[in-house]
Amino acid sequence: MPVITLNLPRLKTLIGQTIKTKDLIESLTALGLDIEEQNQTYVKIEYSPNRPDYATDFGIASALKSFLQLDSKTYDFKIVQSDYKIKIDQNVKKIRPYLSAIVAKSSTNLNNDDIKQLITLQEDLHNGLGKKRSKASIGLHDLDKLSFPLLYTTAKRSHKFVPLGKSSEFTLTNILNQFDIGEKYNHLLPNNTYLTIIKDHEGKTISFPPIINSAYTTITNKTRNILIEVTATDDITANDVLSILVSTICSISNYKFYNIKIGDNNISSQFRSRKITLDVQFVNNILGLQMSENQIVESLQKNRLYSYIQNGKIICTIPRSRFDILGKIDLVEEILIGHGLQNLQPELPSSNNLGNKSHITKYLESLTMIMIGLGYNEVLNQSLIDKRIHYTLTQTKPNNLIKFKESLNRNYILRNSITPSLLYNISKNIHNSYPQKLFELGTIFMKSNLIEENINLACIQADQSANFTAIKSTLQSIFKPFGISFKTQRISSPIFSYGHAASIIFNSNVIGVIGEISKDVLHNFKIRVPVASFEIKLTGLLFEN
Amino acid sequence: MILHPIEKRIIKSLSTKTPLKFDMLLHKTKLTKDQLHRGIEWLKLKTLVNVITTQEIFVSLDTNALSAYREGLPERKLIKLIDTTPLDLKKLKNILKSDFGAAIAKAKENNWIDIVSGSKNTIVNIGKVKPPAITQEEKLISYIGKKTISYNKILDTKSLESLKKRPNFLKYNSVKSKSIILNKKINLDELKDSKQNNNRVIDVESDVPLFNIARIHPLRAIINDIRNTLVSFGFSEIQGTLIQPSFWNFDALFTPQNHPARDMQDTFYLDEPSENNMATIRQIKNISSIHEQKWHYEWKLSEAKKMTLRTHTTCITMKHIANQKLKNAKIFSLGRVFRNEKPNYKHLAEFHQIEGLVIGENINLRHLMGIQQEFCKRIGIKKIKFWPTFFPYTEPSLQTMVYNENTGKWIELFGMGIIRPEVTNPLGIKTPILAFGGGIERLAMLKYMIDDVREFYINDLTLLRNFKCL
Repeated sequence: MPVITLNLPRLKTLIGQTIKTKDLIESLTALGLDIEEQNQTYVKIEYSPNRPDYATDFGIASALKSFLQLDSKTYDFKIVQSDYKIKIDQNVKKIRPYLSAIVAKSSTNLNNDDIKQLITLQEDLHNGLGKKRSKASIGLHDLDKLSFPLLYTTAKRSHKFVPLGKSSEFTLTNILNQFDIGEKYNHLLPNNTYLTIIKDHEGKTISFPPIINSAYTTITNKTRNILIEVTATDDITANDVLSILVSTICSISNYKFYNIKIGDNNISSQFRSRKITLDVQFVNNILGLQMSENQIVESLQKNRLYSYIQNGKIICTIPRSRFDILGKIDLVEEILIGHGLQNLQPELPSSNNLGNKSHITKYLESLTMIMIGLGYNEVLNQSLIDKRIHYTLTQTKPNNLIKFKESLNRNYILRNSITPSLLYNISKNIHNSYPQKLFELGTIFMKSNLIEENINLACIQADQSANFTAIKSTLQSIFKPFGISFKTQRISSPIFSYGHAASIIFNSNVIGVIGEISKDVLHNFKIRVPVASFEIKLTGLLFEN
Repeated sequence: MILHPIEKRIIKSLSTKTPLKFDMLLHKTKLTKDQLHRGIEWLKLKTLVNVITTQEIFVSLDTNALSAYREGLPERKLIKLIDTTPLDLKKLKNILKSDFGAAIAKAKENNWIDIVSGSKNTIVNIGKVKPPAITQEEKLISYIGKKTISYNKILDTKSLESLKKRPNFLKYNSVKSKSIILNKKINLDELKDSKQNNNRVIDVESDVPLFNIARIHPLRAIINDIRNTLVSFGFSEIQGTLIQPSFWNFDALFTPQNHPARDMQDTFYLDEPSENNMATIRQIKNISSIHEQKWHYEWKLSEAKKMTLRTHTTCITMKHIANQKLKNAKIFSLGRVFRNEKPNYKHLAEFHQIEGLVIGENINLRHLMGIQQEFCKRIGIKKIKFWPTFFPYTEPSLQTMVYNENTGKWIELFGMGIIRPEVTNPLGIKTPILAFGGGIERLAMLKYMIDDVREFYINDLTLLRNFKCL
């Protein structure tokens, strides 16, 4: 989950009303934001990835203002018609086909804090909605530095311009090979001779998407009017991203937005709001409340969702930037937040359901009680185990390993027996008093045609009296109450001492192994007392999966 | 007061006036060393005896003194040789060998000899002082002899000091010894009254050694408590495999195929073939179309077929509801789930989760909160509150926050919500479903006050044998 640090004094200024820190924090949690950390001057909050509009303090202040009913302005802003044009060259279709853009004009300059917030939002959108720029990337430009119409086109890799933060020209190849940002995002571009750029009417390059913008249109604290452009692999993502930028800039100060004709389309047509009709009963059925139409409308308005009542139904207007609202059920959540969770009284449902444990659980509980009675302590180990412990230390050859596509630690495997984990437990307990008797009931993974999951029981005894007879007595005693007895048949196995190992046979099927752990294996685990163990497959013996 | 026969025997041999050494007490009581040690410890606990530890230095003769003990001091040997006739210095050197130096030096010091240097040779003569029949040093050597004697018993410290100066003459040894003294007079006869019938009376108040006990694992104790609580609420347990196709783990739960949770760095994918009949053709068709319609991307069957180590247990319970066509039920699943994360003190790559679903015609969000509140109360969590939150497959979504008394902070414990229609509709489920779930280790850490989650999987017997009953 993404995290944002909010400066409390600045947040209070943005809200524009005196509010106690305690009330502010409470309102943040009521909006569904998690408090990670907090002190006198700042609060660190976690917001859900489906609300990228919470990536700046502007977005959060705006939500708070509405929630606290300080203003009820909606994001359903007007777009002024204008002559701005961006031409699209057909060559970009194969690389990054979509471009969306809008012009925002203000009567005041951006300040440094505003710019910092915009850059934070830009980064958050790049990583989140933009999927690390693979789906969408953003350019913010000083409008007054460039001349229209713009051209979204392609240029040779040898094409030169002055990139952001530099004072001299570099070729596209130079940028991709020598700049950190170039190396990081190089993989997003095809192996073409031509790559995407945006040029202005005078032929100046203003951007090299999705890598870097130009130096000369960079926004600074002298910037007043902004061009926002988003290049993307699909038009929905492009406009999702643009709508979040627009709604955030909207809450910085009084910006006016101007239409741009992109190719043959007007951007304003992409910014129409949606309407969802809600049934009052539907809302009340889900929340278990008896809310009136007016209460529902008020709760929606608290989330800047303009609504009205028509023929007993609620018509709610969803601005373009609230694309996280997929349907009616999402509006119920908005109503819940607006209404306040504290107004929902928990209640137990009336029910005639009868509870039951699974049949496997019942068997495992019986076995556990027998094991405890025999003086065995239960242990729990992970299914993911170090390959070295599972195979190398037990001197067993890996066979039929289950493969991972990728894992953080390549040494980890899915266990196909529990005994190595128990030996490892004994080796980690040499400082504790003996006798040590451990058992585990757990899932193991066997690779046949597909992967088979079985539940095994493994027992281990470590002390001077541990030997084959003692562990075989344990095995036979455990299963006597289940009416099961086994045959054991001599085997030779690298983990057990020669002549002190057997397979466990039930109805002429081998379902386990039993024996005294060999001196070499004990040495590998640095265990200095005799150890005997058995492991048996319960699936198919006591129960089926 | 009840005394053990061993204790009585010790008391009989002791006095309140003079401390008795352990060895002496051993001899007097005729107990074994072990019995005596134990008896003294018991009496100490009852504050009937005091144990005084002292350090004693012992002296014995070293190699050179032992040969002097047998043959006399070097200077005595010299006197015996020249007693009748003076002898040549070189001749003496040949006879006395290694004793020569010490003999000449000591005899000269005492004026027992006179050395006359001539032109050809040097002669050793009897001196002005007649040697006594036995010196103080000689007396001390014969007193010590082959014995080891306490330093305190040697009165002639002057001779002891002079012998100490001679090389390899004396050995010192320090030994710690215990002496025991009675604290107060005890009349053992008076104690006889407590003897009844023929049964020997024993001490019922003293501490005894403890056994190592066999128990279930501390996490299992929590798991069992949660399971029993849910069963008592009318929930039935559902089990399923840990390896699941992405279809049930993600797609059926409306997680788009490009969602970050599906990245390899978050989920373990197996490089193994998938099941053939993972879902019905209808289920696959419906789920693919809801994804394409709502998430605007091209849904791929190949992605849905990828096998994962399940990241939650909802894949088990939702599939169960869909396939059994349940309309009124309470079910739960309790088991292991996986995340491709590097384990640290807070997170594990493999951990336990509890997850419950309620399906029914007239259920609502307040019922979910009610079940959750009662459930928390019964598993011993008193202070909870609900916060709104976001989960991909529930809407509205809430979380239970519990108050951690140790840190004074609210922490997130369980997540819950109503299953989204985008999950239920494609599976043909028309009835609303309430869902809740959470990690068991997190709860266990809170209950056992353990702050490193990895501790549960080290299986140290100190913890396994001694953890607190909840």
